[in-house]
Amino acid sequence: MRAVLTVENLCKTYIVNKQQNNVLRNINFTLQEGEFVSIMGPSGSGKSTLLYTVSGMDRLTAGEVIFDGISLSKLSEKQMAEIRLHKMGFIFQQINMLKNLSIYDNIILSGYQALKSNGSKRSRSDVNADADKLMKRLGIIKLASHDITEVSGGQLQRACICRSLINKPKMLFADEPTGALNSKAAKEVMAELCQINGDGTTIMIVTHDVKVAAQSDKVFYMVDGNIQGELKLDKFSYEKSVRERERRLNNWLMEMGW
Amino acid sequence: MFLKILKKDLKRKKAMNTVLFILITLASTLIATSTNLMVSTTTAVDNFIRTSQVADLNIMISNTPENDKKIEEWMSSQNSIGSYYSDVQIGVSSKAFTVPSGSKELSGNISIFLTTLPVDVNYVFGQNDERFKVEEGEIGLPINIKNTTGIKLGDQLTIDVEGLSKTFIVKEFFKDALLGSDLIGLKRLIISQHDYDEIKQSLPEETWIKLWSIVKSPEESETDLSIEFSKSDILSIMEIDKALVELSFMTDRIMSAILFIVSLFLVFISFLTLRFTIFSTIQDDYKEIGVMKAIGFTNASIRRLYLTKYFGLSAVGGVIGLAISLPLTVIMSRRVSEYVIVPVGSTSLVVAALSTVAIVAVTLLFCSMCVRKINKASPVDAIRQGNNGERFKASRKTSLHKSKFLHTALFLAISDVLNQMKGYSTLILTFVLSTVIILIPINLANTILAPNFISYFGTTQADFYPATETSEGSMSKVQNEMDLLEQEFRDKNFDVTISADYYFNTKHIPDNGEGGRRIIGTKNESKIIQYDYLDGVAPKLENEIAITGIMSEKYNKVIGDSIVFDIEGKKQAFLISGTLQTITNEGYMVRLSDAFKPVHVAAYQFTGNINAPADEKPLIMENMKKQLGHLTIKSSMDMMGDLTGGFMGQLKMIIVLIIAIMSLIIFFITSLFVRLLITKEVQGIAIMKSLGFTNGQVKLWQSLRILILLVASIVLGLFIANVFGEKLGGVLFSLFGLTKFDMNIVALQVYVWYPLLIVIVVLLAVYSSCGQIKKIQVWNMNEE
Repeated sequence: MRAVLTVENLCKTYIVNKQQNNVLRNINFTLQEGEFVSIMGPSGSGKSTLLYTVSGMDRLTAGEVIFDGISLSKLSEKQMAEIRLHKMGFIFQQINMLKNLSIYDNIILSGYQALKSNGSKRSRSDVNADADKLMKRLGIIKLASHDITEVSGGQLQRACICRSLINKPKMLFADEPTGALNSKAAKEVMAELCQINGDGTTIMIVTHDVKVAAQSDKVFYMVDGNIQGELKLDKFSYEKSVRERERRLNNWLMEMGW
Repeated sequence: MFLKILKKDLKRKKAMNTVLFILITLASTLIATSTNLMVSTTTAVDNFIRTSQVADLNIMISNTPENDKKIEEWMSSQNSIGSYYSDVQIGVSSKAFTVPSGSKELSGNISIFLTTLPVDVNYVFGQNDERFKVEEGEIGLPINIKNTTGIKLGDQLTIDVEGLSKTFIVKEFFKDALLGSDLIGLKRLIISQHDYDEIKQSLPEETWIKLWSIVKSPEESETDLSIEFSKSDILSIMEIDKALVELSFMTDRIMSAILFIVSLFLVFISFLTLRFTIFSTIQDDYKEIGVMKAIGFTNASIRRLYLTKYFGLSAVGGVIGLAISLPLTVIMSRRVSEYVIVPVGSTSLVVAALSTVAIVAVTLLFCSMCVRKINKASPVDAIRQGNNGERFKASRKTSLHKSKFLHTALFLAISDVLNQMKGYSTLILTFVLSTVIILIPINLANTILAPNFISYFGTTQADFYPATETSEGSMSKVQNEMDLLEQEFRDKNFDVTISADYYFNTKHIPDNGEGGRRIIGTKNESKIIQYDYLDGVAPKLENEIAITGIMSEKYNKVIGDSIVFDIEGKKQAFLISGTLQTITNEGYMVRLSDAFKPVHVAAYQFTGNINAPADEKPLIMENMKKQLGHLTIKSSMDMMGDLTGGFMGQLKMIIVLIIAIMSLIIFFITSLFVRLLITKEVQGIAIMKSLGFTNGQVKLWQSLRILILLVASIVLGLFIANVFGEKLGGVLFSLFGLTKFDMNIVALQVYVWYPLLIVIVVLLAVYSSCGQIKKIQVWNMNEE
């Protein structure tokens, strides 16, 4: 196992109305390849900011983030975009897709975009084949030609997962991916994420949902921009009792002041 | 609270509000300026004609006792004539004048007459708008001569006629209502009675032209003396009535009319932009509107909130536009005030203010119609951002997976354009209109500047025009001159062919034998270029004639018919061999064959063609100009300059003004549009960024989308400008007598340079407005 994401002394500060607001304070952690980590904490604790900062979506104020051996703070906007395109995948709470494109075109868009860079040997038909495979696996192949307004939230979130995986990323970042879904759809989406993690993709997820966090290998609890605690769980498996993991997590969260 | 909301809006949408404000200001400036110019020019010209006491009909005729008798008999038969005056004008060739060094020669294309200060009618006025006096040894020149030659007050001007040499000091440059317009090719020069008598006595009587100025009796207003005179069988050199004098000053009015039309387009574009902006703002603020409705705001009060902002913008824009328009009107009317007496205060604050108030009122009315959209949304609809939960199948016209090679940014741009065409209608209309507004005047100017346009003035298109004596003379004298001229070129080893265009006065005799109209007769002995005929062929036999299309319609005569003209006092029947067109003499001109030999001609123009390959001609022209400087050799462009006076300069100025205004408009509207689009597409841009698109790629997508719209609009604009422009030109030039108008489209300008200029302006606007793309972050994705 090798480290895919190393965060050292990470600080993030916003200036609002001439007042300094320290959103992230001296954060340190390392994620190994294939790990599944959840970030929990009360609203305003800095969970989403942490996710966006370590994924290079936002600039850090101090410290260092090393992703796949590369220090993100030293990259230009163009280099960062390349990393996002080829090595990172993103899933968001709001189901965001381009309105003028079909579900299928939304999925393949970044695949086609990636062909132009890095001298990739992949062709457009390879991208199409990968998209077909992913959509079949997530059970939405019949919706390929549909408009994004024609399908349910759960189906759309699965399409977003397909989109995030089209370039076979090293790591997936998810910001409350089940937040806008009903419980059935949320369960289905989480099953897919576990499956993807099982295939070797590292996942970092921000969530409020204990059931979601209970399926990860590790949980960070954040308060006021600090990681207050870390709970290590075993690798999740459906064969074992989910309830036991949820109970353990709940107890720990209560200790943390959740 | 309203004020607080407004303040916040103005602060938040700074760029959008600024562009709207500039558009309204610009529209108001142009409307106020052009309206003011139109009113002030018309008032000034009317006032000038009245103050100058221009006679109702002015007839120039050869000074013979028979003509005097005929005119007096005709006048006594007319009850409508109140009074009349006559004086003798002395025709002098432009070559008789020696101008001071550093000044240009007097144009050979104008007929010059020496006369004394008019005392009864047709007054002239000095530069200070007062009547003036000229003493012995002094001369007054019309303002056009000052502008075309550069002669200054106090300069010495020598006239050499028939062995008499007289030097005059330029005392005054005057404004002349009767002959002052650039479009009238006759100019009178004012000298003292003593000098006049001296020159008159030394010149043969055939150079004396009598000017009869006839004034209708005050109670007579209906009778058109010009029509009545045409019924007589008197053959005049020139008739100028008040209507023609008014028409001769119309170029200034055309300029203000063009500016007014451009202003109307601008107002239209401003309204389109306002509509787009209001709809976008309402869409953006749907949630706020819903909340306001939910807490009890009435539709009217919400509408008022939006209207207050637009009222503020249009009122302030209107006032600033009005303030700018006042000095602008003064600058633009400077040319008019040079030629015409402009009464003090004729540029009216009231007219400008009224047009500004009208613009502000119409803008508000339009805005209030646009904000009615607010009424339609229920609070719940509004809170749901206009989404009522219904799902629909979008009609997508493009598929990325079906395109094998299309760049993703280009695909997204095409997809946006095809799927949201309606949303881009404002921008498309702006681009199309801007292209049309820029290209129509350019096409018209290029048509007028084309070498063959000179043929519409009755002059054959040629390589050069030697300026020689061009006033009245016998055919044998002209022939001798032509031989001498050819010899001069031969002596200097220039291989050229000299031809001549002859002009003489004729009169059409209608089939019933009564009256008729004065027609300019021409014949041409061009050995190189044949004249263009609309239909039929050039006259070959002595009794063959070509008439203009307008005459063919008016007299109901077609090719093969017989038509009677009075030429040199003899009535002769001719067979119509073809039709042509001209803008000379309002389109009334005939062309006779080489076989027809008149004894006298009223005027003539030598034309020359260089017998050498086209690429060598410019160098030969240069050498000719150097070696034969005394001939003042002119190109067709120089001749056009002489024939159209300051009109070309004015047209060029208007074109530059239009291009500048339209470039500004295109820049601001594109900028506004791109900013609005980016604001609406924050979510989409954030998604693209999260997927790994760089800022540059997002900018490329935005630029390509606008570029696709622009190219499509330019193609449409080109089509409209070329087709509609030709029709417009046809209507415009039909006023001068053309029946068929072919527009000269200079391909490189129309299809390359000007579209390229528009593309550059648009790309600059897009790139300068794309700055906010950089600021969009991935978490903006969750903002609706």
